[in-house]
Amino acid sequence: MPNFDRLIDDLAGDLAPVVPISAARGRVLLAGVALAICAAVLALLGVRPDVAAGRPAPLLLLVAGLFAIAGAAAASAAIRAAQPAVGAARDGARWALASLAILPLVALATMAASPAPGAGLWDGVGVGVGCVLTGLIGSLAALAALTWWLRRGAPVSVEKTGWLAGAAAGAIGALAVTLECPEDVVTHMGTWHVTIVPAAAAIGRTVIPRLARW
Amino acid sequence: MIHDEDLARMMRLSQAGDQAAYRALLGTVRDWLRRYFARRIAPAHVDDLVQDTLIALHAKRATYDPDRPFLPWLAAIARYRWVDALRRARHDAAIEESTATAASQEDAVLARLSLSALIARLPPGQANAILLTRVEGRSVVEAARLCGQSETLVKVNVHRGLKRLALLVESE
Repeated sequence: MPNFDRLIDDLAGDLAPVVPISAARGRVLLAGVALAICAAVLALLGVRPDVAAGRPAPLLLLVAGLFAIAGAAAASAAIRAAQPAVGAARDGARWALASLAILPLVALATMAASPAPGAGLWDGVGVGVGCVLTGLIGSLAALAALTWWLRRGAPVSVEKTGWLAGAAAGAIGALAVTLECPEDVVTHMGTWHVTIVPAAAAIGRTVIPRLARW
Repeated sequence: MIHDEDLARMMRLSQAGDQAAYRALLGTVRDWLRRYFARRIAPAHVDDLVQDTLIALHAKRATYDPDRPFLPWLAAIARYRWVDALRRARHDAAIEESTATAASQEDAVLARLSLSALIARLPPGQANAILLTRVEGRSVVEAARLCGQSETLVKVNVHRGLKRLALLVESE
C-alpha cells in the first residue's frame, strides 16, 4: 500500500511554479505555423495568377474559406484537448469538417452532369497526385506543431485527438495547395484537394496516440 | 462536502508554487479519489490508482486552466488513469464490499463527473463484461455464465468497451 503522506510530501517538495498552458497561445502558435506553411508553398511553387493579380476567383475563395474554417475549428479543438475536462464539448469541429463533404459532392454532380461523364477522368491524375503530396508535406509541419503542443498537455482521448489534429493539419495543407494550384475547377479541388484532409487525419490517428499518450 | 471554488483556489496557488496549498490540495484530492474509485476497481487496486492519479496530477498541473472549475479537470485525469488501470487489470482481484461511500454522497454535479456516468454510456453487454471481469475480477468463464454471453463475446465486449471508454473520457 502506498505511503500517501510521504508521497504528498515528495510531490509538494518537488513543486515548482508552472505557467498554465494557454489555449489562446496555442491558437496563435498554430496560426503562425499555418501562415508559414502557406508562405513556404507559395514561395516554392508560385501563387495562382488570379491571386497574384488581386482578383481571386469566387470558387477559390469558397474552397479556401471552407478549408480555413474547417482547419481553424479542428485545430482549436485539438489544442483545447491538451487541457482535459469532463463535459468539454469538442463536437463543433466535426460539423466544420463535415462541411467539406460538400466539395466532393459538387464535384461528383458536376462530373455526372457533363456531356460525357467519365471522359478525361484520368487526365488530371498526375496534377492531382502532386497536389495531394504537396498538401501532405505541408500538413506534416502543422501536425508536428500540434504533436509538440499535445505532448506538453494531457489529452485524455488520444485517438480522437489524433483524428482532429490530423484533420486540422490536412485542412491547413489543403489551404496552402489551393492558394497555389492553378486548376480552377471544382472537379479538381473537390476531389484531390479534399483528399488531403482525410489522408492527414489518418496519419494523425496513427502517429499522435503513440507520441501524446501519457 | 468539497467545494470546487476552494479546490480551484488551492490549485491556482499550487501552480504559483505555494507548497502549503499544494499539500492541502493533494490531501483533499487523495480522499476524493478514494471515494471516486470505490466500487469501480478492485479494492486492492484503489490505492495504487489513487497514487497514479496524484502523480499524473503533479506531472500535468500546468494543464489546469485557472479560469475553469477544478473537479471536471481532475475527473478527466482520474478517468484516464482508471481506463488505463482497467486495461492492465488481471483476474486476481478479490471481490469484496468496499466500505467507502461513493455515489450516495455525490450531488448532481459530481454525479455527472462520476465513473458510473461514464459506464452508463456503454451498451449494457460491454458494461457488464467490463464490470464483471475488470472491476470485480471474475474470470471470463464466470462472467459469461453470469451475464449470459458466450466467452468469446465477453472478451470482445471487454475489448470494445475499453476502447469506447477511452473515447468517452470527457463525456458527461
